[in-house]
Amino acid sequence: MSRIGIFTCWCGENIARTVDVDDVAKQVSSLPGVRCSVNYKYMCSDPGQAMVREKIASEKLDGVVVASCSPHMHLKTFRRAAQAAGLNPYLVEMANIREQCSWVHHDRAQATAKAVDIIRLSVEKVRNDAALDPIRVPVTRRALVIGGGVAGIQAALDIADAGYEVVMVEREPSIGGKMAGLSETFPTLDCSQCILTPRMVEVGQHPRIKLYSYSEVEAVEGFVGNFKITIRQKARYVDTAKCTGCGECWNVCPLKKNPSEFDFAMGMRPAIYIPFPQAVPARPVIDKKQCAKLIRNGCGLCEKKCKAEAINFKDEDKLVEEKVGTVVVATGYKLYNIAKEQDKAWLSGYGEYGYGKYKNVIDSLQFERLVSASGPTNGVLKRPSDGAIPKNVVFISCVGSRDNAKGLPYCSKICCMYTAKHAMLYKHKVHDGQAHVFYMDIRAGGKGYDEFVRRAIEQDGARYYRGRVSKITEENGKLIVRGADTLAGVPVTIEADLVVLAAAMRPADGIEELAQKLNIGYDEFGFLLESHPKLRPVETNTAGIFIAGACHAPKDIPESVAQASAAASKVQVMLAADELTREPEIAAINEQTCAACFTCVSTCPYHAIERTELRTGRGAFIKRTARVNPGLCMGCGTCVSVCPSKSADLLGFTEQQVYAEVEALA
Amino acid sequence: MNIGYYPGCALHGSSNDYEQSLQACLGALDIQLQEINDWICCGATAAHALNHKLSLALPARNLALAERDGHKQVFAPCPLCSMQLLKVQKAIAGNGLRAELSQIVEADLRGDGQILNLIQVFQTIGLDKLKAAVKEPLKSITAACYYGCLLTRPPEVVHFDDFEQPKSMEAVLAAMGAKTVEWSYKTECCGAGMTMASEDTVLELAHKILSNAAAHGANCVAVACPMCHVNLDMKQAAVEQRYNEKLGMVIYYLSDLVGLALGLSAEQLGVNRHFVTKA
Amino acid sequence: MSEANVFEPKIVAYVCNWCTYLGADLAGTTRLEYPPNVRIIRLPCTGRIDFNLIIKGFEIGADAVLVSGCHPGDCHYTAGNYHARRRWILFRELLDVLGFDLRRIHFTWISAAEGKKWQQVITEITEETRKLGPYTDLYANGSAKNLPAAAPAPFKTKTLAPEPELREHCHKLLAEGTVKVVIGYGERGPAVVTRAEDTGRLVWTNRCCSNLTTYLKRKEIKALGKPAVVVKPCDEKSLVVLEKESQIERKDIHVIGMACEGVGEPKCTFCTARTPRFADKTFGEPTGPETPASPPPNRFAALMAMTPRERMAFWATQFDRCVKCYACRQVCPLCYCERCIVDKNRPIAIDPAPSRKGNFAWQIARAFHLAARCVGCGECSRACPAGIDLALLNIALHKAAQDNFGYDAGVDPAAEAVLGAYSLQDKEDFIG
Repeated sequence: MSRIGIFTCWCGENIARTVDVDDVAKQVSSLPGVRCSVNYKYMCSDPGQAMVREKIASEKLDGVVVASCSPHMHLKTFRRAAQAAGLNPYLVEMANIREQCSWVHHDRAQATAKAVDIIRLSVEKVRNDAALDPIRVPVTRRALVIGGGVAGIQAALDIADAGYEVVMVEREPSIGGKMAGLSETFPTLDCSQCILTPRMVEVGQHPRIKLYSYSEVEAVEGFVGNFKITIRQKARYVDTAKCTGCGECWNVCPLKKNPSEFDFAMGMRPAIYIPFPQAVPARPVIDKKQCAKLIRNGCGLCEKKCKAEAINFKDEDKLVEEKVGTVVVATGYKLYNIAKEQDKAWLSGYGEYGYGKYKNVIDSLQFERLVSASGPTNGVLKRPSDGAIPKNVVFISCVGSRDNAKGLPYCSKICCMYTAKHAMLYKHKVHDGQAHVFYMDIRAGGKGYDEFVRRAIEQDGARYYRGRVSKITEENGKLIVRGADTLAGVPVTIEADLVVLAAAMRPADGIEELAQKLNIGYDEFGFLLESHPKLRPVETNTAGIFIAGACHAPKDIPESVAQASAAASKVQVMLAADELTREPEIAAINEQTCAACFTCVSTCPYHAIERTELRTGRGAFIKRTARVNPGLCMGCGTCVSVCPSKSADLLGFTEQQVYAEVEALA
Repeated sequence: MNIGYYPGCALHGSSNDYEQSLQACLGALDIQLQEINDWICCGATAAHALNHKLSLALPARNLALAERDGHKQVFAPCPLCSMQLLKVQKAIAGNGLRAELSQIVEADLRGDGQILNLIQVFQTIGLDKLKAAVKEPLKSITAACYYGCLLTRPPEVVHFDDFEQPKSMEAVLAAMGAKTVEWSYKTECCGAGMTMASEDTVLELAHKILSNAAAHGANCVAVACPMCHVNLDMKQAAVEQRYNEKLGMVIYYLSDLVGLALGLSAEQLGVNRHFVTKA
Repeated sequence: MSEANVFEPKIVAYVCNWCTYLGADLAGTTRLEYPPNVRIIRLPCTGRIDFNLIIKGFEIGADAVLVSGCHPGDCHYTAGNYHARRRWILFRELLDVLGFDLRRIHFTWISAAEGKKWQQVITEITEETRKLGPYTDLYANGSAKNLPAAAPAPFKTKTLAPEPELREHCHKLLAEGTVKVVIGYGERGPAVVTRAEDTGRLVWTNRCCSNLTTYLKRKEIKALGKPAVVVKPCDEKSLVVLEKESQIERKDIHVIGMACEGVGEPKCTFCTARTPRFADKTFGEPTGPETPASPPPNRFAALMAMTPRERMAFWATQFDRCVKCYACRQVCPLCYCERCIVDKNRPIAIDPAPSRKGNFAWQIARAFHLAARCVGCGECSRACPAGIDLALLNIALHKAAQDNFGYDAGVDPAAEAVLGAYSLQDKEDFIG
């Protein structure tokens, strides 16, 4: 027999103004199973909660209904109160008579009658509630960080410094990401590598960080607290344990004319190479598509030269398994390909800018390499076609961004700032040069950002034209840039020596396959989806997987670092205990009655149901059945609807409860 | 081979030289142009400035007539005409406006025919076949191929060639043994219908086009549009006078050049009817 | 209460916790008023909303039912609403066939940001339902029309030519121990033969109507060992579905296919498959049944030509004859759950009484549980001692599955089952 207590709240005047709380409390006191019914002005306050605790004890209640605001507001509050009084927190329900009653109706009689109905529903639900215990899942107290850019590095260091082991997987031969290739960063004009490389070294030397470079995530199995990751270590053809990084091999390699990926083809590299001198790990890699030995068994000079005998042409990809409890995805970005080839049918590039046709039309990352002190031209801004120093450089913003017709509709956030930076760096290097910037708007909302842009204009003389560029052609070695100055109302034609396009930021290649392996969501552009844009910006809807950096949305370095630390703190919350507790309102299957049709298995959005067998203690086969993995189930209840025998049920919203609620409305 | 032929206002009128060129050249390639019976105006620029439905109904009528005549392919030498016909096909695709337009033009529109511009006609014949038929390779021709505004745009209607950096006309001329140049005004506006209404505009734009072609080494310009031809050929003398420059660029219809390569004479092709007949 | 004698409709709303419930909360926080007639039942996801809850809502007296959740793509559980949408596409067709007043059943997507939409939707539904009046037509009597019935053709049972070959083959199978039991047709009903010498009991006539695949699910048969089963082309489709649903392993069964000329059942007039496609051994020459003198009347079209009210009255008359014998369930090969939902008593989701309401509840559940699974063997209609036109409901849902998803149960083993999967392109013109 139930002993339910009903606690009706006045919520000050919010409920009481429209609903006759006294009357309600009186009416519901006679519902079957109700032991006591009280009301109070502010149920969620200290005295209110104390009242709940007191009644639980004195009336020996086995169920509580709080008739007040939305469960989304205070269900956790009252569950904690009940638990403090020794009542299982899952025997508490809330009747929403504020947001869904008193605030939306004006007729006192009707609102009061509705409030009674709502409470009656909740009483029926609570009568069929079962005491549930949070599910305990063991935790492997290690984290995986996918991506070794600045966000991945920050997250890895935070987690490792807190005392947990971190496995970092980076696709390129070295960590550092895009930031390692930048020249100076806004708004401080810090040398990018100077501030990053110490962090990179820290990662490389950290006792608790295991770095898999030149590797990718091959497969992900398991669930929060218990992930099993398969990592593919791509063949370097160099034994990193023996190699000392002396550089004899790449000096002697005869095949030196391969476009360097790190320099975005602004410079060349040999077939055996280290992407940049400060690489971590500082060990070379052989590109199997270019190496003469690997292609046709020729050359082999590097092997002959290597005193450490570290070259291994027989190297192969290796698959390695790592067990971790949580994952942080920090895979970063790439720039929109302004030329013709696209990976999505609805993108078409910008043929009118002549990128790919004219050598001196480059994108922003290529410009960074040209001005970088350790870049292919040693920081001297030599334009690609003939190495001349450009005297007129045109910077075009929003190439691909904010373009519903041909590109991507979103703003890439960082380009206004880095374009101003480019204009300033250019002026610092070419004192008699003139920077021209074509822009749509200036987005400089960060700390010191607007002042930074003004410096570019006022101190470094950059000319800003509010307008777009319609076409770039080449005449007599000069790039003819035709655009508009909409503030002056005139067309503008500039004869430029170099054009830099601020291409849109997109998530890195392969993001969709990775997201599917991890079972996390992504939007139509490939950016990974957070759990809630305001309140849970680093979590995903898959428990245990967090995101940080540009893989989530375009963002700059300060934000990436902040988000990485945020993700790291979420990881630490999870790894702090030996066990994870999960909400127990999940599905359960009555294995005796399950017809083993396995419709639930294919339906479950989280692949949380497995096919298994029931056997006797001696191993004799009894029957097959479906079984819910309590570590994976998120409690949507879709399996319940598709189950023909109704063997699947959802704790907290059982068939019994829901039907009781409906019948209560008769 | 027979194909449907929609001349539009220009080809019988002020650009009759284009029609002569087409009939000679395509005739030599054994293509008979069957003019659509009772065709009407395609709407050009006037209709869509006034009334969107009118701008669809007019070419829809022509489409209906072509379908009535049983033409699977319709060649419209003027890119505005061909674009209008493609626009109507797109509007009725997926049944969008099919019922309504069918009612207006009093015919059951199918929209399943192929609309061809001049370059596409040559592509349909096949560039290899054309090359094999060349009798006199165009060794002295270094052409700047001028596409104008409508051969490749709007890209979502026309779906022809790369709309920023087209190369289809160059391919045809290469098969004829001619040289072509890379230049900067392939798809820039020539002033279009401003020829009479705002001659200054046309002269300025034509000047830019012609001098850029010359600057990049071309000795003539190839076009596939009667309007482009008028602005660059008929107005060339005025351009020379206004800017005090000798340009002397012959503006060839693409069919002129193909015809010459096939061994036809300039008179047969009507090249002597142009305003600028020699450099 | 407002003025007396104004009808106040009762609206039951099943909403998902993360979108619509929060949307309703938002309506509250922004003080958007709406009529107080709705009662909300909060569930975690629309995926959880079983079709029977809609029926239950009406059973307890709701005048309108609303089901609402997250917009496609926004589901908090990623895909629950896609599954729900697919379910509703089929269920709505069933409700239409049964004659439910579809104006009283509403589906919407309302997000957590759409407080205004919640207000508008509830206000509209309340006012529309008020105009429609109380749902007194539910399961109500009426002047029920009858459907045209084909005059039964005169029939003479005769043994067919392949019978001796069939017996010999089964004899061999049992004698060599290839199978342990043969499920075939006997003189009167099925013959379950375990000894080679008994294969003389097996017959093959033009009246072998049973779908013998239903016996493959029985514990007693399974306990005997590897079976052989005699199937006609229509029965064979059941095997495809059973394997798809993990009830049988094709390699563990010896399938004996019989080319069929028709067995005198109404389904034979629509038959297009003459020979089994996946049998281990086939007997007989494929010919068709004799074409009837006049094409059989399209009962489904005749049913849908009635008004919803007339349809419901028709079904009320049909279902009144039901005595809950569950012969339809026993004979159906695809009803294999050992504990059927009608046997579940916590909760009693389906009223077990053979009352008007209880019979509707059972028939709806049976029909919908077979949605996009039924292969049209027609055994249910044949087995029903009360002569209820059960196959007609199955035909309706089969047509719905074909029209909406291009799916024909039992035909293509590789085709993805309809319920349990979803497509981003599933139509939602009925969802607000």
